[in-house]
Amino acid sequence: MTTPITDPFDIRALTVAAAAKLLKVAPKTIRAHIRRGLPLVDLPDRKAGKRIDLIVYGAWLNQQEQKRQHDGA
Amino acid sequence: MALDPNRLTRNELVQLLNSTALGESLTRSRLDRQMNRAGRRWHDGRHIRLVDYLRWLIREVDRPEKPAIDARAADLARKNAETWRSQNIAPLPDIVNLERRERARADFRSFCETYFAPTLYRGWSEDHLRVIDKIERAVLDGGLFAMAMPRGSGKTSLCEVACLWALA
Repeated sequence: MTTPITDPFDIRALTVAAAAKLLKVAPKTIRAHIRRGLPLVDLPDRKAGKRIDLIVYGAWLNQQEQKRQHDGA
Repeated sequence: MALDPNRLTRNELVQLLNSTALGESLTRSRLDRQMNRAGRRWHDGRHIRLVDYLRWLIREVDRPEKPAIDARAADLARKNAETWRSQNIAPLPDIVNLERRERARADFRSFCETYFAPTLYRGWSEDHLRVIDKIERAVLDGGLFAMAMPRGSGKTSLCEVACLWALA
């Protein structure tokens, strides 16, 4: 099960829709994570809106998983 | 050298995820545990596929929680209460014959004949009567004794009834 990473995706600045498509998850899942505090990237072009950095997403998910295990212990 | 997100080593992934503004989020040992848990869904033992790893993490984070300790404790309390209810025989029935009860309480043979006639139905031999007397003295005054009787003569039944009489 390998998901190829090809252009035009920039994994450090994805829209919600693009991230959902790449990760094969529902956009509402990602939006829920944003509401829970997933940090977004500010692009120089303000019209482009905020984007998702997959590296930051990975770090944030790890922290959430750690918190969850800590709370459940 | 550019990193290939489809072929990250463990060290590369740990360094990459810890390089964000969020600070340290992953250790090598934690990643090893995740790799064990995930099987080979997002790695081949040496290299990690970032996107598949993130998808797996999303599922892990959104997985429904196991019942909390409080819920398990409440479940245990409910089961204990059910067990207690099933074991509790109160309220005790009224005494039908007070004189009979007092007689049986004071005399082991009478107790056997009154309440356990269907169990001890063969009638008493001389040996039985001697054993009954010994049991009675052991219960009322204390003491130990050994009894040897033929198989099928009621040793176990007599001992079981004696225990109940001692509690009565």
